[in-house]
Amino acid sequence: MQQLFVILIGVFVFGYVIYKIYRTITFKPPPDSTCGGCSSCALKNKIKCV
Amino acid sequence: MKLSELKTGEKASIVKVSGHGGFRKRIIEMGFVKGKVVESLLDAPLNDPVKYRVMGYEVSLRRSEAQLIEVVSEEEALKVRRTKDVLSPVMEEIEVRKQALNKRKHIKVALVGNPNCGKTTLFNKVSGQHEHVGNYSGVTVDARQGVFEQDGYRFEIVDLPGTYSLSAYSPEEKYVRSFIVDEMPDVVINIVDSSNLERNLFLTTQLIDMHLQTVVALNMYDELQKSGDKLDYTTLGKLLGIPFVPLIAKTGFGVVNLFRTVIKLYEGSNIISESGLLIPAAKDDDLLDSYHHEIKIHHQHGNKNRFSDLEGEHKIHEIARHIHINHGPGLEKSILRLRHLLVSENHHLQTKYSLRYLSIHLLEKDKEIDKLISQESNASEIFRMRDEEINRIAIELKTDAEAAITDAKFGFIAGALKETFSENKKKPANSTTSRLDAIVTHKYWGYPVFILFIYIMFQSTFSLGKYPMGWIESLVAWLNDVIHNLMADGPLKDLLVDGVLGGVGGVIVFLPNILILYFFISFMEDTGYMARAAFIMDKIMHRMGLHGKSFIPLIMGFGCNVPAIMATRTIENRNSRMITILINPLMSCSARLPVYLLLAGTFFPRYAGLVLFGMYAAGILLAIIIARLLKKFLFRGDESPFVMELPPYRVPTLKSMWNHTWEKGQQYLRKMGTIILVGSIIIWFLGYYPRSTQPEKPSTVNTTGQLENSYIGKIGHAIQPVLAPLGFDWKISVSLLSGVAAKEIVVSTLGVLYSGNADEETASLSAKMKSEVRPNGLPVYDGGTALAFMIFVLIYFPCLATVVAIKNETGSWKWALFAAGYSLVLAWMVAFLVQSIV
Repeated sequence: MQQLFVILIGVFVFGYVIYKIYRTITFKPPPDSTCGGCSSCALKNKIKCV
Repeated sequence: MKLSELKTGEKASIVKVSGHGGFRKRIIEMGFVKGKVVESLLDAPLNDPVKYRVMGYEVSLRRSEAQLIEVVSEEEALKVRRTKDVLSPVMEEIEVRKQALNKRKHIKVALVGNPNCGKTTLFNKVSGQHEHVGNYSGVTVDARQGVFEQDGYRFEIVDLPGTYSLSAYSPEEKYVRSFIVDEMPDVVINIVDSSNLERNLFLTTQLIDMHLQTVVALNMYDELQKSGDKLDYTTLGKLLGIPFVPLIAKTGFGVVNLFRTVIKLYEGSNIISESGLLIPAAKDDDLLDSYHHEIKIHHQHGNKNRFSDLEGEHKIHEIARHIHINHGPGLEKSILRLRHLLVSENHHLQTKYSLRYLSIHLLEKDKEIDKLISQESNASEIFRMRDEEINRIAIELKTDAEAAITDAKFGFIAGALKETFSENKKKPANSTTSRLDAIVTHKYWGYPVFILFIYIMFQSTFSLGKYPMGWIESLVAWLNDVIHNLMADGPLKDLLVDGVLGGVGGVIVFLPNILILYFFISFMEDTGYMARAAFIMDKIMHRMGLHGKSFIPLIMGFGCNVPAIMATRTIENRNSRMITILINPLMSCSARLPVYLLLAGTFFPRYAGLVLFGMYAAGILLAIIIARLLKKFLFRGDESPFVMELPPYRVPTLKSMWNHTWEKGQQYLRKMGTIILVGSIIIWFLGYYPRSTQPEKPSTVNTTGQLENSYIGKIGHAIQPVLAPLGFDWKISVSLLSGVAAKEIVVSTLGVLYSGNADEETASLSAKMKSEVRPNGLPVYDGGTALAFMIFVLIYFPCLATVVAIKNETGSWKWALFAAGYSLVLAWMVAFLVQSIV
């Protein structure tokens, strides 16, 4: 039983890492962005500054 | 929806008209008044212009103009009603109008002002957020948005970076200007520092040129009162055509009045004439009347039915009006000539820009405006006329047009203040600020005072932090015992004890130290001492060839390198900006702090504060040396001049300091639950598998044979030869490898790798590290290795988030990889040097 939980945790962690790496690599700031290419600001989606 | 999206034959009610004042006034006077019904009649053959019926008249609007009018269509109104479970399919016109007026109670407000005037303090106060503020300029490098409600209105507030003007010289000036032009806030709150009116009002004069709905917030009004100076802000408001509201953002004084003034300006300025009468398009409308009754906007119906004003000081119609700053006959002639040409040939530009504003900026040879104009068919004619006028001004005024415009604006401000501002003649010549500055910015005393303060800060981090640190250690040990006693032996128990508690528990114990350190840093920032520290270091920076403006991003790097690298946007000179970006990872961010705290506290307990101080100082020193080298070999060029601002000292509020400190604590805790937890689990997996066929102690990961033969053991042994000259064993090597993702993971990895020996399970990570020995029986850690380890962590590979930030800010992977590569080589060399010397 413990082995099963550990496998599930392992799969989840593996998926999380792959997802994070994918997000990092695929992020492309559009040209002429008033946000200067910054990906950190949650506002950019709201004010459409990219 | 926008009016331009309305299909032929459809009806809608007007919510609001966006755009600058001139455009809005023209459109509203045509009958496009809030709450009125408009019907789309027909499109012209090329889909532009569109004919509408409003108030019984037929008018044509270009699609670009209709784009700036927000409406609620009958269809939209019907949808809203359905959500309220009203089933009737018939939509009364009055209901659509009511919905439009209701939707109108959503005001987009932009906070604009000079650096360090208190924009972010006001933003935090009203939005309930805890964005970083500091008593030095350049803290806000991006726009941030918050929401706040008052008097039935919902305010969408955007906090913009501080800027001294709206020219297009620096990135923050361009950013603020493009935000205002493209996003078109309904109202701009121009925050000015009451103790420095003359300089702050320069930006106000540019907002006047842009013809925006503006309210001036006189922030830090208490300081003006305390100084004994007198300001007749009502008269000043009348002179400038803008309401002025006293404000003390940090205490919240004046905030309610400020936003009431915003409401009055938003609701009243376009429909109430200077005499208080409603414009014809808004008269005799029962719905609008009751709407104005409800929000208590002062207006008159003829000479009777005077309504009480919305509680507050201003009757908006008596103050708000559009004025033209008089730049003197010589300049006005040029402005007028250019404006006439634009009116006749380039009328469409009026939708977005005030043509007077464009004319002024053409004379200033504003590059962004030149770019805009160059797309016009008559661009050459406009530029020819502009050049003629610039030459004429040079001959007549004996100065260039830009300087003449600036002089004229300051002349206008001086004149307005002469009438409204009186200085307290009895004011003591030496204020507290100047007395303190005499010591802390003294050319000799400034440095020892700075070093003493920093030393006290680091020493307190250890001496005060050790008590709560002990409590958290006990809590982690107790949890360890509980899991041990409750769970049966097996891999899940090992994962929880060795992976999760060993990794996360090893890092979380440093939370109190981090909170203490950031409490001190907040104190430095909020009092204004950080700006002094920057000032005295600035002299050294200049001597080393680094731009003075680089110091703020470098200081921000002590918190986190990612926003610090973003903060370099305020540096207009590309060479200086590139150097600042590339050396920023050398500033010790908070993620490296747990490594220092662990190693300094374990191996240098008596001098822990000094060692910590040394690490930060080493980072700064290396940054200066690398900057010098980069400037000499890669980024040659002159630097642009920069005046470092020294704001007055202020007594910080405990709440504000706690907010900053807790913000850092939250960030740290969030990392515990994400990257550190995930990192610890991965390290545990790599150390736990493959399982040894004949384990000495099957239930624990940390038996020597198991760990040595695991995946992590193999990885560690593979990279260890490279790091062996620095005195690092394979476990240190693995921790450094995992630290590439985030530096805190170095500690959590050590926590996992050193956990699990049954007899040491309850011992702290420090104790385990002290007792760790090499195969030859010598201890793994001595003073030299510990110092080399710390120095390596300080310099080597910026974390992944920082590498991505460098890539985004420089626009190239080349520089991100360069930063990663040079830091690795430098880290190895310096650590080797330290190991050899100590």
